[in-house]
Amino acid sequence: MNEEKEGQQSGVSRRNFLRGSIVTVAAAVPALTLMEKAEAASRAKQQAPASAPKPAAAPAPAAKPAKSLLVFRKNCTGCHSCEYACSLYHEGVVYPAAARVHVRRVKGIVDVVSICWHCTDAPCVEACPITPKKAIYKDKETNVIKYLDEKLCLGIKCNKCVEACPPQYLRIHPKTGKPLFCDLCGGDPRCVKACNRQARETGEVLRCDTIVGGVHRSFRDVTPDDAVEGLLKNLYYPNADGGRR
Amino acid sequence: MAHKGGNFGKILDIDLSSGKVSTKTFDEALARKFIGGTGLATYYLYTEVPKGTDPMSPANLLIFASGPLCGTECPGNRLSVNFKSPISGGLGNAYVGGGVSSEMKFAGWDMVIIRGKAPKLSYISVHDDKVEIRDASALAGKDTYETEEMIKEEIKDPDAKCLVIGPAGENLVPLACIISERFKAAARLGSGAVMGSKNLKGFAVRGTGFVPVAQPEAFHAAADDALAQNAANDRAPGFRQFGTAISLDQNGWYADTLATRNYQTGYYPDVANMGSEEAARTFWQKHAACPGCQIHCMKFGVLRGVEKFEGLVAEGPEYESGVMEGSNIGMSALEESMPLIELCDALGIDNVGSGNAVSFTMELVQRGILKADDLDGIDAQFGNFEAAYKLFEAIAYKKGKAGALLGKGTWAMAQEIGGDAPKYMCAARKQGIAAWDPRTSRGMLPTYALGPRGGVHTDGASAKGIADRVVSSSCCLCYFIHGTWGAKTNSNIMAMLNTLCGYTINDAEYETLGKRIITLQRAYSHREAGDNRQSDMPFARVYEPMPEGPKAGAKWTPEEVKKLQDDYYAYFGWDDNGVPTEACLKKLGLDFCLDSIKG
Repeated sequence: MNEEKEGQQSGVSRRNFLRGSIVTVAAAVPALTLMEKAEAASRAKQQAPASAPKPAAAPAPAAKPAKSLLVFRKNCTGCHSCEYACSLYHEGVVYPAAARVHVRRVKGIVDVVSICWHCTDAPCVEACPITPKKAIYKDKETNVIKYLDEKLCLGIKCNKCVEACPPQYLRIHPKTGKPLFCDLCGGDPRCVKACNRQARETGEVLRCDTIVGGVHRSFRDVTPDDAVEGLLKNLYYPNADGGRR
Repeated sequence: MAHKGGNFGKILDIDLSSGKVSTKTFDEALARKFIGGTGLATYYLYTEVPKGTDPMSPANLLIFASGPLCGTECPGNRLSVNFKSPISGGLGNAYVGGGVSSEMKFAGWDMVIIRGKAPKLSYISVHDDKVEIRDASALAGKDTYETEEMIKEEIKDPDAKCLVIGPAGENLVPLACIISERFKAAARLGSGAVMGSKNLKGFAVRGTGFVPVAQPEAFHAAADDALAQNAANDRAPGFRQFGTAISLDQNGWYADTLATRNYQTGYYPDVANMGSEEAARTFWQKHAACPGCQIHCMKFGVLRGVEKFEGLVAEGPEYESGVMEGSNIGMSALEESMPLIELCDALGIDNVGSGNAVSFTMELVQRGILKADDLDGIDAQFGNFEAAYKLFEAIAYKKGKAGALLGKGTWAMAQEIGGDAPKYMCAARKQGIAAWDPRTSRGMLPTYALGPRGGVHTDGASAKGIADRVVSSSCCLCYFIHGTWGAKTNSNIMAMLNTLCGYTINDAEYETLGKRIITLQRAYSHREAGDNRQSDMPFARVYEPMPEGPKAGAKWTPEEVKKLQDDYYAYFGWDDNGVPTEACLKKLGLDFCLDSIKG
């Protein structure tokens, strides 16, 4: 159901498209082949051996900075491990339809990751029509969207937060009918852990880090359709639509 | 008995003739006896398809079987496709990776049985328990890529996973295959032709559920351990970096087993121009994985700077496709092999089978047995790219004399041409073999000649290997992941299966399972195609010495082959002719198969 919504909203403006290309280009220069990328990655490893997974579980200082998720879409192999790990943590089973991170393979050749960017202005909270108190709020300390009271949420009948989400990230839980918000697994996101284990040869895809001032709009406002367009142009030039030749 | 986990016990039964959709159930006892996937599907194939059924008739079944371990965090999922084969006349069984098997489990189905024949071209859409048979007349003649995109658009679900056929399947070419996610194929033994004979253009599935687990904590620990072993294995980085194509360079140079010019030699230094390193330097753009798998063995790339194929997006080369559309037909560059590989995927023909048929044709031309006139004027010389391209197209569209001849597959071609032709045929059990030369890859002879399907390179390298592999295939695991588990493969599968389904399978039962499923498959192919010691004989070329390369002179002797067969039959308890005995069938609980050995 949610997919239909996304399809309807896919009017791609030129501005949006440019934003799309920024995010995807950020990962690597277009002309690089896999071999060169691998070399670059090994060079980077040699230079910075300490860039291993962040010690997320280590005791942090009192005023710990709020974290966000980041994605480098170009490196994604579409293995869905993030979805699996996410649903395992939150639902106790592998249950991708109820995961808080989504991967979609488009045209058989690009993989698009959708994450919550944990935006500072939180348009989803803004859009929540419940009064006097909104059903969701942004937790200043952990940077995630939380339910004030899940019973207040009207779920799929209302759908306002889903429609308001700029990167069209939000999805509805197939059983409860309520939107699924990424809670960063309490500061140690399982999707990032799973991704780091899976995608070692391809370079980093997911990262959990502090972004000073919050994520920039040019990253956040990229819809999956924009991202597909950017990735196709970027990876498969001159066949920019990725179709058959 | 209710299922504790892993399986739902639910089979979606679709009769295309009447449009009737029903649900079948199976209990835990049956699931444990045949595990699921290939094992259980062969059971239904045996019991529900009457003896002597024409493979292309509505009475044949097309079974899409997912296994118990699919849709969980266990890595390496595949879908098992089962049918009676139009190529061998016996067991039809092919596997395809990608998300479709786990998606079927998320939709709440262990298996989909398709029977009958739709009155007009149709496709099936499954969304959880909502099943629709829809008109596909707009998809007629479309290639596999377009078909998949159009189906996803029509059902408004970009996350749906599809199985489709291309023009070849619609044209009922025996070499046709089923394609999923644009580049993945359930290729062998004519799956696409059977799907085409049912007037079924596509099958789309989407699920929003999950697979129940009997002992969640123990299962997650077992799966995590399996994943960790995979991550720590020192072979894994090579697989990840280069996929199966890593074998192209290895085999062409020092393993001397890269099938070249219809298996005339295994030594082919030119592979440097079309192997994995060259592809990584100039072609590949992106790694891709199947759901849950750490080994992203698929590589997508784009051709640049090639006049005719500028911007061609393709997946590969993999080992098999890189050989069958490469060295085996004399190609010597990526610019030549990649368009052929892409063509096979798009038109929906078996990469290996059709590659084998084309290379066989080229050798017959080389030997002067076939003339250009027999092939509609196509000059089928080794290394002639234009001719190869035309031949592959002719196969898919059943075009002219060439299409009619090659489309049948290597073995049927040799029978039709007769004379000296069978001497140059490289086929086992009526199916063209895959890309490893069995003279130097000794373990390939058992899988080609003795394995349950014949001509297939993935069925295991010894009697025990074949029995173990079929259990894994019945769990619907990808065998590529075994390479990183090594000797721990069986214990890993057992640990996951037991905790997932609540079984208590031990080593002895695991061994029995393998023997039972292989014997069931053998009983089936004996009943339908009369498989016995004679049909298990390999082709003539394995007795000729390897002409060049580091392993020059390697060959099989008839005594060695006989010993291989004796050992194989003895392991499973079959008689001297390679037919299961009554005692063996009874011991394995296959009493319903007794009719297969009674004439």
